[in-house]
Amino acid sequence: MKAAVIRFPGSNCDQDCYGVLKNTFGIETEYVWHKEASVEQFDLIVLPGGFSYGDYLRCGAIARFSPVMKSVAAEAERGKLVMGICNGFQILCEARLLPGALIRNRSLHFICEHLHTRIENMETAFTHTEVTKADGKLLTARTGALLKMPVAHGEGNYTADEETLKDLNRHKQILLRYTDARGAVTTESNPNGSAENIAGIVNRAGNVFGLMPHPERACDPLLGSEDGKLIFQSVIESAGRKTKVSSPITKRS
Amino acid sequence: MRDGGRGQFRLCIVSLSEIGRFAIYEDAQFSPLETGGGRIQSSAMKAKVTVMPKKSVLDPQGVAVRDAMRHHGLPDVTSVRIGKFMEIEVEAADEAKLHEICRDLLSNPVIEDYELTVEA
Repeated sequence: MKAAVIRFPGSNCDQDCYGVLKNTFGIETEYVWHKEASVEQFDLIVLPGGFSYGDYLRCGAIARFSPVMKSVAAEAERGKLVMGICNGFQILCEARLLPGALIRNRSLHFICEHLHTRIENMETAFTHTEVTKADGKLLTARTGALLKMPVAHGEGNYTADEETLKDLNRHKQILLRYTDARGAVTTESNPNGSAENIAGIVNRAGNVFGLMPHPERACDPLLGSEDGKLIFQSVIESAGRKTKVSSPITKRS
Repeated sequence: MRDGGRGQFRLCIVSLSEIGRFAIYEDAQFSPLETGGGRIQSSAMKAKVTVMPKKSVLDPQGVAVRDAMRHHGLPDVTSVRIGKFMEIEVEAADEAKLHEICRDLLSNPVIEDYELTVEA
């Protein structure tokens, strides 16, 4: 089990992602510069947050043409787990690995705060397991469970046409929605104007996940929340399982 | 790098600690963005690209500017949409290629429409 954290010029959450994978979860993790040609050797690929290429043109528009993205797309096609956080989510949308787009927040403000999101589907590679918090309490994934995580973005307003939104609902691809502290999806709890309060979606195949909140900044009680651990624990378990299943193929090649 | 300045300034605001880390990125090729010294002296063709948010997509900037215009004494303004205008100089026009780039890079067809005109 090996994880990659892709670094684009302007990524700034790469160290946080690396730290959580390596130190909190003890996963073998490597930084991968965006000019690398292949991420084939990794079981989990994380696209971190930041301002790749200064957000020129559109967020993620230029990063999506980085050499490494060809390999990320190929590995995603093969079913490998890919997680894009914040700017990583924007890059995945620009690369058409996820449907829709992220536009300027409705308020035009850059928002930076802890928010509640609700797990909408607990039967996915990214939202299915449980973790023990530092105080010994168990955090268990279930549909409707709330995760408190920080957001920090100016362009997190998820937009897609009606047909795409219907599809996302039909196939349970919406994994996280912004809610109030009691778990209600309301206009007031929508921080950026996202369609249907969407905070995170997965592709149809279920292996590419994009989300605006930062789970990597919510893995330590010192940071005010450990709820992000649930997402990392889920994806690490899922990637480990895939590795075991695919190991005979690896040996043959 | 005048038009490169804004983005860099923004990165600094977000995190001052990032400045030191830019050393890591010094081999980055901002090839699509290179402006310093890259000014083309003579060129055969000029392409102009207008990118606009689709009618169906909310344009928060446009709404804010519309409201500001109303406050500035033009209460009748009903709509403002904000897009991008790009001037491109090319030695030889390959219109099909330009359209491809408009579609893939300069605009995002999910949320935007583009218009390309090529002038001799």
